[in-house]
Amino acid sequence: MILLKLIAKIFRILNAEASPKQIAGGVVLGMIIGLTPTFSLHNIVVVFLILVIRVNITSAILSMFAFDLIGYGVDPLSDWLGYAILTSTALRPLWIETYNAAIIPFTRFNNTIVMGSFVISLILLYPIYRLAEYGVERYRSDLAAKFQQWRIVKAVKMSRFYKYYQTYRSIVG
Amino acid sequence: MRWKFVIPFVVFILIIIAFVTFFLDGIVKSIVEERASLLNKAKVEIEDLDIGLLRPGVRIRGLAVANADNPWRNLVEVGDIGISVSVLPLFSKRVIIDEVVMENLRLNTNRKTSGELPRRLKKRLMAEEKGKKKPAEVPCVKLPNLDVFKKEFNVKELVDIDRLESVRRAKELSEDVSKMKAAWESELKGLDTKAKVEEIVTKVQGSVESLQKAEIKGPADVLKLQDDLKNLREATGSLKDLQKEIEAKKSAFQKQATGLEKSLKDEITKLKEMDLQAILKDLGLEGITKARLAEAFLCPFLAKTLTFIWNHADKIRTFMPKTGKDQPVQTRIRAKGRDIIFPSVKKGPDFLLREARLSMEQEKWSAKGTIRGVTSDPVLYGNPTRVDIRGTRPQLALNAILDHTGKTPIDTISLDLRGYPLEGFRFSENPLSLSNIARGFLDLKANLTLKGDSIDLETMTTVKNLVLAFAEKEGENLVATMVKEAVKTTPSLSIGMAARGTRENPQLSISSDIDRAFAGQLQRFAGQKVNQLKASLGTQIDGASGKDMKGFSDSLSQGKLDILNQFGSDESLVQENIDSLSNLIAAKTGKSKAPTKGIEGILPGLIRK
Repeated sequence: MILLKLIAKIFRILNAEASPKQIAGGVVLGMIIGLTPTFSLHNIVVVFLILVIRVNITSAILSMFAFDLIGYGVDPLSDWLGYAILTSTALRPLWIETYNAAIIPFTRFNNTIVMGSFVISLILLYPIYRLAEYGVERYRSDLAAKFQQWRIVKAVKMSRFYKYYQTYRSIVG
Repeated sequence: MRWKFVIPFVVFILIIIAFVTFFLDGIVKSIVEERASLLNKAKVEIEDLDIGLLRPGVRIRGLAVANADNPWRNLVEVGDIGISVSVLPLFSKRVIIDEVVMENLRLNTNRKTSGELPRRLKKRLMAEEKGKKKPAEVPCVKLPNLDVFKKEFNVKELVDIDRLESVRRAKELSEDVSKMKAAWESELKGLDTKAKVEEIVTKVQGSVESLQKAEIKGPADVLKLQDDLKNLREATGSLKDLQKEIEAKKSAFQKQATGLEKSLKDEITKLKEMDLQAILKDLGLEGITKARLAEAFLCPFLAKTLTFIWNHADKIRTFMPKTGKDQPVQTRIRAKGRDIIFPSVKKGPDFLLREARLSMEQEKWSAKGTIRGVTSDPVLYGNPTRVDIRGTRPQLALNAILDHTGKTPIDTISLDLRGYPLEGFRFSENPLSLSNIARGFLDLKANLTLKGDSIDLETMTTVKNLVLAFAEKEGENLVATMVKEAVKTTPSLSIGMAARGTRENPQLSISSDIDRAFAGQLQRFAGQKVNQLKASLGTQIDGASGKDMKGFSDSLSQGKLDILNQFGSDESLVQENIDSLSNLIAAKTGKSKAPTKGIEGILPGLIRK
C-alpha cells in the first residue's frame, strides 16, 4: 500500500503543473537534508529555503527520504572526505577561525560526516539539478504517454485503491 | 516567495523554543544526573535545577553524590549551588562560569535509598569502561589465618620437594661450577704460557750461548757482552710481566670462585626463605611476622587510597587534557563520524570556571575555600587550577595545584588536618569484624605529587584516644581477636605510609607503632606454635636441598683445585725460566741486582775472570 502510494505520488509530481525547474530545485534541496545528518543546524536553513523558495515541496520530501537511505552507504566516504578537508594544513587557519566564531560551531561543521556529506551534496548539487530537470522534461515530452500504457500503471489505475484515491483528490482538490 | 509557509515555519520554530525552554530544566537535570552518575560510578541526584534565562545562570538545590564504595552513604551533599554564566561565549559554544557559590556542603552523610547505579547505567558504564586501562592493583600481604593451628601439621606432607625453588636451584649449581671451570680453562688456554715462554727464551738463545762462552779480549767483546746481557735482562723482564699477568688472573679466579660460592650460598638461603614463605602462604600464614602483620593490616587502606588517587587523577586529566595552539589535530569519536577539535585561540578555552567558593557547616566540619581556574584547556588558559580550603573545626588546610600547562601534568596536593573526631566512623565489610570507631581523634598530614604516571605520596596519621567497636561474630578468627586485643592496649597509633614509583609499579612503605602491639599479641597467641612450625619446615627444606648443596660444594672444591693446579704449573714454568736467566746474568755479572756505574759495575764477573 505504501509503495503504491509512493509510486502514485511520484507520478503525480511528474504530471503536476510544477515546472521541471521547481521539481529539480526540490530534489536537490531534499538531497542536502538527506545526505547530511538530519539534526544539523544548516538543515533548518535548507528547510526554510524549501518552504520559502518556489520549489516543489513533495519532490523535496521524497528526495530527502531517498537520499537519506543513500546517505548511510555514503557515510564512510563522507567520513574520509570530511577528515581530509578538516585536517588539511592549508585550510586549518580557516577552520580555527570558524571554530572560534559565534553560532557556526553549532552547525557541527567540525564533524567529519557533516563536513564530508555537505561537500558531497554541494558537488552533486548542479549535476543532480540538471539531471532531475532533464528527467522531468524527458518524461513529460516522451515518456508520459508510454507510461500510461504500461500494464502496471493500468493495473494501478484499475485498482479499487486508485479509485478511492481519485475520489479523495477530487473532494480535497 | 511563499509567505504562507514562512509564518507557520517561524511559529513552529517558536513553539520548539518555548517547549525546550519550558522543559529545559528537566532535560538538563536528567542529562547532568546521568553523566555525573556514570562519572562517579554511583548515583548523583539533584533535587531541583533551575536555569535562569533572563539572568543567565544555574541554581542547583539538593545535590547528593553517592559513595561508590558504600552506596548507603553520600560522599558529599550540597544544599545550594549558585552558578553564574557569561552569556556571549555561549554563542561560540564556550561555557565560561564566572562564579560558583556552594553553600551548606556536607561530607559522608547517610542516604535513605541505595546510591547504586540502576541496571541500565551499569550496563552503559561497563560498555564505556571496556578496554580502558585500569590502574595496576597494589599487591598486599593478606592477614594470616591463625586458625590453622587448631589442627596438627604433617610437615613432610607440607613440603613438596618438586615445588621447592631452593632444591631446583641447588641442582643447577654444579652446572654453574662446570661453566665457570670451562670459562677459566679457556682463559688459561688463551694465556698460552708455554708458547710465550718458549718465544721469549728462543729469542735470547743466541745471547745465552754467547754469554756462556764469553771471554773478553778487547773492547769490542765488552760491547758484545753488554748487548747480550741487555737482551737477557729484557727477556727476564718479559717473563716477569707474564708472571704478573698469571698472578693477576689467578687472583681474579680466586676472587670469582670465592664470590660465586658465597653468592650462590646466599641465593640458596634466600630461596629457602622464599620456599618457607610460600608454604606459609599456602597455609594462610603469609604475614606472620610482626612487621608484615602490620603491613597486612594497613596495606589495604593504602592500596585503596592509591586506586582512589589514580581514578580521580585520570578523571581530572580526561577533563583537563593538554591541548593548545601547537597541538596536533585531536579527534573525538562520535557515534557517526569524528569531531575534529581545533584550538580555541581567540577567546579562551571552551570551558572555564573562574572561581568557585564553597562553605561547609556541619556537626564535625566548618570550613571555607576556593577553587580557581578549572578549565578544559589548561595550556591555552596558561594557569594551573588552584584549590585552597581552610577549616577551623577541625583545623584544616588543604592546598592543591593542578598544573597541566606543561608537557607533563603535575598535580601537587598537601593536606594538614588536626583533631578530626572519628567518632561514628563506620568500617566497610572487613575480615577483622571492625564495626566502627567509638572514639578517637585524627591528625593527618599528607603530601602528594603526581607527575605524569609517577607518584610520590607521604602520609603521617596519628590517631589519639582510639576506641574501636567490633561486630560480634560467631566463630571469629584468631587474628581478629588478636587485633582487638592489640588495639585495646594501644590507645594512640602513629602510621606512616609512603608510595613512590609509577602506577604500574608502586613501591609502598608502611611504618607503624602497631608493630609493638602486634608483636606482643602475636607472641601471646601463636608465638610458640609459629616458631615450631617454621623450625620444622626449615629443617625439612634444608634436608631436601642438602644433597645437591653437598654436590655443589664438592664440584666447586674440585674445580677450584683443577684450575689452581693449572695456574701453578704455568707459574712454575715461568719461574724456572726467570731463575735460569737470572742465574746466568748473576754468574756473568757477579750480582743478581742491576749493575752499578763503570765497567767493573757492569761486568765484575768477567773482569775477575
